[in-house]
Amino acid sequence: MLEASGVVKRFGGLVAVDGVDFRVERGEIRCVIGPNGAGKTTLFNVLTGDLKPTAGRVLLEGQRIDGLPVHTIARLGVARKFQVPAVFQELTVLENLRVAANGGRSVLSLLRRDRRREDMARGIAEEVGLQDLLGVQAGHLGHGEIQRLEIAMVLVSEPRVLLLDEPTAGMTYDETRSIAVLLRDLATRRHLTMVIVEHDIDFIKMIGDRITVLHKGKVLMEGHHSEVERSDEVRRVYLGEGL
Amino acid sequence: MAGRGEAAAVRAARRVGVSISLLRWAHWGAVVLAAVALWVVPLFARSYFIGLLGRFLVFGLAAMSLDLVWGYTGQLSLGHAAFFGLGAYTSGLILAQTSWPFLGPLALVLGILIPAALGFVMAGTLFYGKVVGAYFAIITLLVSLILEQLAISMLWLTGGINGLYGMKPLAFGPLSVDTLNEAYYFIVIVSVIAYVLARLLVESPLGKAMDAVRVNEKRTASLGYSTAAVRTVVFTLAAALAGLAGVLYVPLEAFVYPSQLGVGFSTWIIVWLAIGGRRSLVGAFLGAFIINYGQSLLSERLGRYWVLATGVFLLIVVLVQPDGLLGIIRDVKDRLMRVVRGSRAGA
Repeated sequence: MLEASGVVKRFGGLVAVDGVDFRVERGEIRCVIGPNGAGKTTLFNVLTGDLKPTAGRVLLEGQRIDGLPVHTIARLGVARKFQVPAVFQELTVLENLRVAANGGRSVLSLLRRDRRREDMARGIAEEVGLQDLLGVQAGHLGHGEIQRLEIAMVLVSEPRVLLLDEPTAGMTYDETRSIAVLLRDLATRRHLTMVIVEHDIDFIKMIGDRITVLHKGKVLMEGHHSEVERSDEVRRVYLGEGL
Repeated sequence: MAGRGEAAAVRAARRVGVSISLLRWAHWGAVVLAAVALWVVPLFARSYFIGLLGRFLVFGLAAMSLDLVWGYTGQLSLGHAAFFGLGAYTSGLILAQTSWPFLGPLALVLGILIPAALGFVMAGTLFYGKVVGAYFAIITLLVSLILEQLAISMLWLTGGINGLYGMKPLAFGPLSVDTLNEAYYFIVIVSVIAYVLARLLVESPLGKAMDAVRVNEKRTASLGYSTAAVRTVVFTLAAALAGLAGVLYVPLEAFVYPSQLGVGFSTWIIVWLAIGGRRSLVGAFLGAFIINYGQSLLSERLGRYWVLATGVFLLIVVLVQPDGLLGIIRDVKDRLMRVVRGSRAGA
């Protein structure tokens, strides 16, 4: 579904991503972990098109997408959820979802309301459990609710690939679990492919799929979380970081 | 899981939902009332006041145009008078012709389309070239300066510093906008239509995209919007609206002059909007009305100090509430509603 081959990203003299090969199948949830500075966020930005790779290719179902503008990649079905909450704080929950639902339309057609999209915005609010908060300004939501809204907003565009950067940062155990359940549920129901950058080992276990471990811009290992946890190499790079 | 805080949030949401639809009805009711009030003014007002009110409405339209660009999409145009003046000059030049047919419709349509075309070319090149923020503002300023200079120096076309005068009345078949009252009624009709269209625009999915582009452009792009296209379309529509305001100014003043294109007038448009309040459309008219009415009342007494007084007033308003007078009204309303809710909850 989504493939990176030989991706390199250099910032001046710093090599943030150093030849990463990486392949995610349809419906798979792939967690990407690694210590600080491993290149997770840079790799992520290359996948979304926010950064152009210095070398290498990114393929979506065999089609090259590296170097395309962000909104074109988004239109092809790659959606991103940011690490820092990026809902539109001044808008209400419903307005946020409407903005998301109308993405990808040509600008002039935006003058007209599209019944189907407006209905979809409400439907997805229900799917993620926000139906009772439609009129609340996003800036007044709780932490878990904001994450739900963000996930809802990327779902509205009916993506094929969902990229999530630390979806449970700062959440309680219960909130983390409910987000993990929601994501698993969405992956199954919508055949959605996900790539998740995450630190929280509880969350990674709850997701329970294959993991890619990055270290110094390279893939250190790939496997199920139980294998990764047992790996001496992974322990070594995480020493003092408490995996 | 659903704690007390969450339940309270849900109740608050339902309450907000009710008040939103109530506010919407109240708003359209107020629009109808304002339109009727404006319509009956000539029945009892002196012609001096009718002329003033017509000017305020035209200035309000220019400020509403800036509101679409600055208030909603977040790009400040420092040279918005360029589009206003271009509309005025276009329609003035056409109405000065003697042998052309369909002068009125032509003056109206080209007075809108030519500023819109300039706006489209500017916005297209700048926004697609990722020229935004301060750089965008400076270029709009330069365009306004250049057009004002051209109007002064192209004597053969524009009459230079003396301006254009002696135009024929704006006429559409048997309907002619000639006397002050006719000009005033025409301005009221067009203003109400323009306000309703602008309101529909900001409530449409495009209007929400305008908000989104202002609040977080990167995020908006990642949702599949071409943010440059959103900004270009809105800027073009705003330029058309400013041009329309310029067209309306001609029958009122019977005179078109270079400073209508210039930086000084552009600055006044910004002042009206900043004082009235951005992102409300109504604030544009409120600011244009308060500043110009204040000027007509006080300028005789204060003389040149009038401009200084306006500056101080602007400073105070913006320091108290960056969203202008409508922002202050909104704050007071929010506080009242909180008091009302508090007493209800206590009962």
